Amino acid sequence: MTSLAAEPVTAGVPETVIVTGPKLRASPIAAIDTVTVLSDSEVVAVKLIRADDPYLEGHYPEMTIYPGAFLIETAYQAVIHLVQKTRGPEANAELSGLDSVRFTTALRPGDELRVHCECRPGDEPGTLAVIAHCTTGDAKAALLKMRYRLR
Amino acid sequence: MSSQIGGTMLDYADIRRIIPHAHPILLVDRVLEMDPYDRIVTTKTVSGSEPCYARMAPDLGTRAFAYPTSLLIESWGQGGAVLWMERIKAQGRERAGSLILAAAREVELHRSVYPGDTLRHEVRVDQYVGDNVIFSGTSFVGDDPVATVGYAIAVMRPSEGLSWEA
Repeated sequence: MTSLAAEPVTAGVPETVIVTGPKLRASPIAAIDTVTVLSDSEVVAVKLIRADDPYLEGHYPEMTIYPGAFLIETAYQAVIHLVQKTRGPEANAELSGLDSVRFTTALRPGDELRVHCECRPGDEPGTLAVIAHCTTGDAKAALLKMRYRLR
Repeated sequence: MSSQIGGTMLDYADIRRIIPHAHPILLVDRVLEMDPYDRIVTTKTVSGSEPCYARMAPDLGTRAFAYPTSLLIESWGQGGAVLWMERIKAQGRERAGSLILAAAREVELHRSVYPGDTLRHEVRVDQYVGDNVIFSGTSFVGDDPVATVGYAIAVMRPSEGLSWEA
């Protein structure tokens, strides 16, 4: 896979980072608990779905389900982490399109979501094509094919 | 249907009776137009006081306040849910289960949306298939398209066994 970085960013055991602190961009939720950069084109994020996550009390009052759109948010936050790791802390990425997203299992409080993103340079300069495999336990939760603009 | 507010066909009180989404993720403020049950036009005004803007770092630039795409898509989709639930009611039925986005394709995001912008969502239902609905549409701020959705499918599924293949 084509490298995103001038130099490989990982050597030895990948470091898992616990995500904390104030937000640097608007987001509905802290959509990742931990993030691990596996290589300069791969990142894995993990998120425990919690009933008291922001916004979830309304989705739905009768039974909490992590909205499908929030899986897009989880993948987004993982991709930004990789982009800043490979291109520097000032680098950023904006979602420019969803070619295909497919959700197959609803996530409930207590479920652990794992999102594995594969990133490669997009067809146009300054873009990124990302495939995110979302799983919970042994079940497939979603497959997301997305495009980002790098900034 | 309650009070009419400047071209409003359904207001917030109506909408929260129609779809199961509740505060703070009920992301439709008004329904402006509805062609039963093929097309709907809704609005959602983005405010800096929404939870998505909570706990942000100081001294961030404008871009940091772009309305999250996840909420934009959710807000657009909820317009489809209003149309769908109104159709079910007109059929003398009741909602049976949760409404879930199963898939989307050909979604293009044209520009960012910021606090103070009012989103106008146009949603067309392309097909009702049993307890599934296929829809498409565009979101605008003023006359500018901010997002287009080529294809989306939502499903209504019983609360048990929430796994499926659309």
